[in-house]
Parts: sequence; structure tokens; C-alpha cells
Amino acid sequence: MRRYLLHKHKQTLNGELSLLHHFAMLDLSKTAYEVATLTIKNDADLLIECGDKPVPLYLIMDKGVRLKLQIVGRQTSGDWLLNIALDAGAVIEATMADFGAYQGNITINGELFGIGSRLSWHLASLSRQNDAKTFAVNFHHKAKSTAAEMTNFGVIEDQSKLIFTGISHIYKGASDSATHQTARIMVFDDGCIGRADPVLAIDDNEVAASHAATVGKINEDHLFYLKSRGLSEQEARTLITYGYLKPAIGQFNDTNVQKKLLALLEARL
Amino acid sequence: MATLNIKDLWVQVEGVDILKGVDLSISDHETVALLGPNGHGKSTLLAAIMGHPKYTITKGSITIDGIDLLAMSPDERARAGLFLGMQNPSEVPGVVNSDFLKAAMNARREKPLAMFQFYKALDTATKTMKIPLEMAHRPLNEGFSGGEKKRNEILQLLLLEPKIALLDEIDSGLDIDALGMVGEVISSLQKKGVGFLVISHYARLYDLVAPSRVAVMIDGKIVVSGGPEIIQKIDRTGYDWIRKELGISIEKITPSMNTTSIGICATREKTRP
Repeated sequence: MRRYLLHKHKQTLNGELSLLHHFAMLDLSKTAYEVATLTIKNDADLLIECGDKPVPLYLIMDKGVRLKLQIVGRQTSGDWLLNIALDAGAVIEATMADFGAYQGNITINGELFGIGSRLSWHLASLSRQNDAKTFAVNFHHKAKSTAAEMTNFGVIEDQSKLIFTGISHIYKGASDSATHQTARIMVFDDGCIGRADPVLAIDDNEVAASHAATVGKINEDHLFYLKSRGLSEQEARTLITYGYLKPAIGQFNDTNVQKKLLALLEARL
Repeated sequence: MATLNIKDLWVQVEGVDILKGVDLSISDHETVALLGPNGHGKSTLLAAIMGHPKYTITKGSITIDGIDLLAMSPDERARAGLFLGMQNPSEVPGVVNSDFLKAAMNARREKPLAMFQFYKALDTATKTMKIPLEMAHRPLNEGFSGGEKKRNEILQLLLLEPKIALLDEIDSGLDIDALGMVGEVISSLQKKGVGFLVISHYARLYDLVAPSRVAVMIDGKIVVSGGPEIIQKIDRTGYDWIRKELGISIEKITPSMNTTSIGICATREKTRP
């Protein structure tokens, strides 16, 4: 994997992912700028490491390009902003693995301004101890025949807090568009706060839209089943948490990154 | 020698007495059949022995080799040598069957199994049960048919080799070939000395596992105990002879109404006052 650094593009403050960079890695805590802007010119896989102090990132998708976006969440407290703009026919498949210990607000905005653009988003987030995380994931359908799929999965334990808010807005004129949201938070302890607030705003006809939200305590029968086979309470909780969050890790191309994420998850459990 | 002793056991669910003074013992090297009409407490007894939190023990004792089982958590009971083959095994999304099986096997060992040891044991057990190895890599019971779930229960029984196994209608949902396989697995474990407490409504399973004793539960109590001939009698005539010959009424327990309703959104749940 090539390390792609934005400071190579000092003249414009912009970076471009071109044919030279089919596989790229971007460390948002090691850029020289206050805001990073990256234009995706060709099909590519992009790994983003938020690190300790990630700068806001603007991703601009050119017409018809396809991007597999893999994001490793931030590791220390603070906020982060990701804005994505998709031109006609552009496609993003994004996965974010968020296992760090922090307090902060993460905002993801997806603007589907090009006809036929598509965006899928899959978040797996773990909150433990004193973590307090809010994810606002908003998709704006501004052109015809656009499609967005949002899946936010979370596990909360101890006294932590996890909030998923999401607005999926289909604007007037964006007919034949589809937007779907799923949010699930599994609650392990009484002291946790978990909330999922999905919002659909529909201003045109002939669209498909849905949302599903579940915030619930771990199923008592599931826990009993695992314990009845000799697993301790902690082993059972760990196995269930892995099962909930591990599929997101499989979306990362680089096996070293997968190992790092697994280690991060193990260390936090 | 392992012996499970149940003495004057009273169990409540949501404030209602389900078991009303059960006395029963099961030792390794023996198989006990537990029969009774639907809704009279058989499954409650097995779940209570295993420590399901839904069931409250209000009186009585359960010991294994003289050790108080009621002071133990479900996982400690399992590690003490008990196994519950469930009537409706839970589907646990995301948890991979093989990860779960390995964790369960390691829970009984001081030194964790090496990967090759685990896969060797899994390969042998899946072949015995005629389960495709791929099934071990699917999420635990998720999307399994009724028969596949039961085979998976027996697969676990085979891998975990408890001292005493409690089987709750393990034959329901199984086709005739699978039932034969289950019978063979139970027979092989009986030869190794595993004790069984088996609930079934059908004589066919009992023909395969040949219980040495039979207990019949009516309204939360063991009202008849005896030899295997009782199974044949129930298979031929049902339970009405208990009322006619012993004067014990077969009264069905009516569950109380649930007071919880779900609100309009999946994130909110209301409870009526």
C-alpha cells in the first residue's frame, strides 16, 4: 500500500487520487493543513487513519468513479468532520471501524448531487468506560436516481454513551431515489446511554425510503445459551461483541490493518 | 461417580409456582426419562437445573456430588459437568459457531486447545453427526432449520462430554435418519458413563436410548416413578390412566397475561401501569 500525503500538493492545498494511486493511505493527523481536500479522479481504494487529531476531510468524487473507503476512527477525544460530494454515477462503499477510547462528535455528510450516484455507509462503533460518542450521519439526495444505504452498529458498556443521529433527505427534483437507514445499539449495562434518532425528509414523489432503529439490552436468552456451555459472563459478552463488530473489520483490504483493528478491539474488551 | 440430586424443588416464573416440590436424582451411567403432558413443568425443571435467570427457586435444593448447584452461575454449572440440550436453541447473530465451540471446549480446560486439536475434534464430531463442516463457520444457529439446530446441540454434547446431560425434546424437528444418529451418539456417551435426563413425547427416542428409570411430571410434581414399561403405557393410552388409576387430576397450567406492549417506534417500549 502506498502512503499518500497531502503535503505533496502544496500549491493548491488539494490532493488528487489519480491513476498513480489505486491504493492509498491517508493519515489525517499528519497533514500540514487545517482542512484536507481530496478529489477522486479514478477508481481507488482509500484507507483513512483518523489518528489523534484528524483534520476535517472533504472528498470530491468525479463522475463515474468508484471508491472503496475504509476509515479507522479517532483514538483520542475531539471531533471530526467528513464531507463527501458525489458527481454523476460516482459510487462510494465506506466502512468505519471506531474502537478508540474518546469523547467527541463525528459528523459525516454525504451530498449526492450527481444523477445516479450511490453511497453506502457501514459504521461499527464500540463505547466503553467513559466514552461519549455522537455520530451524525447525514445523506442529501439532490439529483435523480441516487441511492444511499446507512448502517450504524454500536455496542455500549459500563457508563459510556453512544448516539446515532441520521438525516436522509431526498430533495425536490431527486425522484427515483432510494435511501435506507439501519441503526442498532446493543446495551450491556444499566449505566450506559444509547440512542438512535433516524430522520427521513422526503420532498419528492416516486422514491423509496426506510429506517429501522433498535436500542436494546443484550438478549438474556443469548447470554444464558453461551453461559450454559461454560463461557463466563465476560467471555460471553466478548464473543457477542466480536460478532457484532467484527464483520466491519473484514471490509478492510490490508491484512495488517485488520490485525491492528482486531488488536485494538481485543485491548478494549 | 456424579450424582445430581433434586430435593423438594419449588420454582416460580413471574410469581407463579411452576414446580411444586420436585424430588429426583440422576447419576452418571444411568438414563432417566421424564414424561408428562405439555405445560406441566418439565422444561422448567431442566432450565432451573441449568440456572436460567427467568426461573426463581423459592424452596428446595439441587446438588451435584453434594455441592450446592444453586450457588453456582450457569457457566459454573456447565463446568461442573452439566449440559442442557435445548428445545429451542437461541440464534445468536454474528457469533460464529466454531468460535463458540472452541470457547466452550476451552472453558473446561486449563490449557487452551491448539488450533489443529480443535479442528481435528470438530472434524470428527461433524462427520459423526453428518453435519457439513461449513455449518461450523456460520453464525450460531442463525438461519438453521429446526433439525440443524438440534444436530448442532448434539454436536456440542459430543464435543463437551458432560457428566450429566439434560435433553429437552431433542428429537423434535429431526427426520428419521437424524433421530437414529442422535440415538447412536447418546448410546456412545452412555457407554462412556454419561448420565442422561431425557424429555420426549415419543417412544421412538426412548427405544433408542433405553432409559433405566421413568418419572412422570404432573402439575409441577413427580407423581409416578418406575421402569420403562411406563413409557409403553403412556404411548398406548396417554395420561388419562393416571387420573383413573391414581386419582391425580391432570390440570393444565394457564399462563398469565403479559402486561407489556410495544409502542409505535422500535426504540421505545411502554409498560402499562
